[in-house]
Amino acid sequence: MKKLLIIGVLALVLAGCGDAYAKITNARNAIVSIGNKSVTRGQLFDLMMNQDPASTVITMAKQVILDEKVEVTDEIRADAAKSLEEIKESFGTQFTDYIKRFGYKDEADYLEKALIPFAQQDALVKKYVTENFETLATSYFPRKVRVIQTKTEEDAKAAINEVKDGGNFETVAAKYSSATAYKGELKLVHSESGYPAVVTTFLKTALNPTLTAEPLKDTTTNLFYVVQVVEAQPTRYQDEAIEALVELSSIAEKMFVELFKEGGFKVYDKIIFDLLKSDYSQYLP
Amino acid sequence: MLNTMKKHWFIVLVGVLFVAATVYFAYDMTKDFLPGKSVNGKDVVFEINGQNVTADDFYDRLFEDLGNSALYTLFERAIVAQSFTADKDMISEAKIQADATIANFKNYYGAGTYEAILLQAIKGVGYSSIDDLDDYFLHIASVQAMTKVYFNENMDELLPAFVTAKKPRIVRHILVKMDDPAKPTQAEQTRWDEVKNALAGGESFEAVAKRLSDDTGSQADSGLLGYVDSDTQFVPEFLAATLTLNSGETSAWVKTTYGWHLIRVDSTDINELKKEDGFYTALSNYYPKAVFTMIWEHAQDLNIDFKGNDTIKERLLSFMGIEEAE
Repeated sequence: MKKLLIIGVLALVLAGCGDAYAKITNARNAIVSIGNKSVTRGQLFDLMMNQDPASTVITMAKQVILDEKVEVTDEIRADAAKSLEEIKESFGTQFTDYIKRFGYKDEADYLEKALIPFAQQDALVKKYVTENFETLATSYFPRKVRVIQTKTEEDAKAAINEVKDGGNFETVAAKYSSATAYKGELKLVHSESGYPAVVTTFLKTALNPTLTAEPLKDTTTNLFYVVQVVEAQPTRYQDEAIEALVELSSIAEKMFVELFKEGGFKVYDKIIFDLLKSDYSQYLP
Repeated sequence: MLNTMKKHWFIVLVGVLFVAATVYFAYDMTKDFLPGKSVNGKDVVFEINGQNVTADDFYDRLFEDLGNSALYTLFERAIVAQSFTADKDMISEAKIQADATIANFKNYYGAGTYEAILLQAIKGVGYSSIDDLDDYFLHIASVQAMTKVYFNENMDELLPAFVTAKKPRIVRHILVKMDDPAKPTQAEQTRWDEVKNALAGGESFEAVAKRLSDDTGSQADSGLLGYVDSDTQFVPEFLAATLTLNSGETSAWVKTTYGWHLIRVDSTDINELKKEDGFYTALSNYYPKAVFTMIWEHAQDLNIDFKGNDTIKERLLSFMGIEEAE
């Protein structure tokens, strides 16, 4: 009887427990004291925990994955060093201020903490895209195309007819295209190349080389498009397609979401959990 | 034992049912709680690939990414609390600002949701509850007041470069509004002539501005625009004309998209400029490090102890842009 009562009381006590909030050790230790006041580790932790810690969790978790799956080889270091030179050239004399604004002590710190992880990520994403190429090629449908944009349907129809009659696509583009971005040159494009929905739909359904039979109208801008699909089998230009897909942040995110699940990512702090649920729910189990 | 249970079966049954209900109640209350985890006595924040990241590890990383500004926030607060005493007006104004902020959040986010959002915002600047909003606004006002004192104490050193760069002045104007200033309508021309005649007849600039200016924002104040410098967001023609004038001078009529303006610089005198909050705001913008220098000077008076941690001191000074020799 006594045991039953104890179980009952314990259960009631348990009901009074709440969500977990991870605490640091030595929270009361002062970091700095000024006059009769101190700034403690605990105060600093509480403040930082209310300034977007969720993104730090995601970054740290990604780094655990990267360190496990991508060794920092000479090749990785060389890629990071190359990026560093490009960024330094781009920022010129502002480079040092730029990196210090983001909290990096110096160039070496920036290389180790930002550029090497980026190089690791690039390597992992490339491996992911290569290993999952068929699936990703179906989702992102990389195609080699030429495109003309025209202001009127008449111009688009005339362009189509001239191409059908054997006209050089770039010459036809120079004659009819309304934007310098559409010179008719051969490009590798995919679902995230930023074309209007009507063009993207056409690309998705084009499984063989083809030319639009009729102009494609973008009803939001009232512009017209003539699209020639030159290559539609991604395996024929796999390396190029991989290079293009590796650049997409959506693919990197897709990869990490899968790796987070595979890695049994779990959170044990209520503040972090709620923030992740709000802004990064895709990473939660 | 069995015999006792058989004899008192009803009491036993009630006891068992009570425990079952309590256990279920406990389960129901806790099933949605987030469980914690500890490893070797340290709380874990998250785990992945079998690796546990403890709160201590997380603190170290957060400190790398966010530590400088967070440390400064708390450092500044500790110094201001010991270096400045707010007066009743400041305390009262802080309460008004806090109440207005709560009302604005409630209005924007709705009565049901504003509290959580406002609480998150106030925690992000180092306070723990919505009741601390007063303290937040009082702290901001205190820093502004302390920075003002710092500027006044160092005005001889700081003013010349600021005046050369920004040309600060107190300005007023008269506007004759026109739809097309190049082609005034009959009514617009009549009004313009009325202004010109009034001034020519000896009526003061202030009186004419109050009586006839079409700028509703300054008319009641006799055309006074207040503090102006080269960063003031005026239309280019107006600003250019304003900055060429010396103290006491009036411009020729200046055409802008609003109509025709007569501009007068009331004063460029430092004692008049000091009466304007805009002047101190402009000084703070021109000397962004001034607040940090001021805080560090007060800190020196309060005996700082970095507990032997040079990294903390280095990071704080780096954030503040201060070199120890200063």
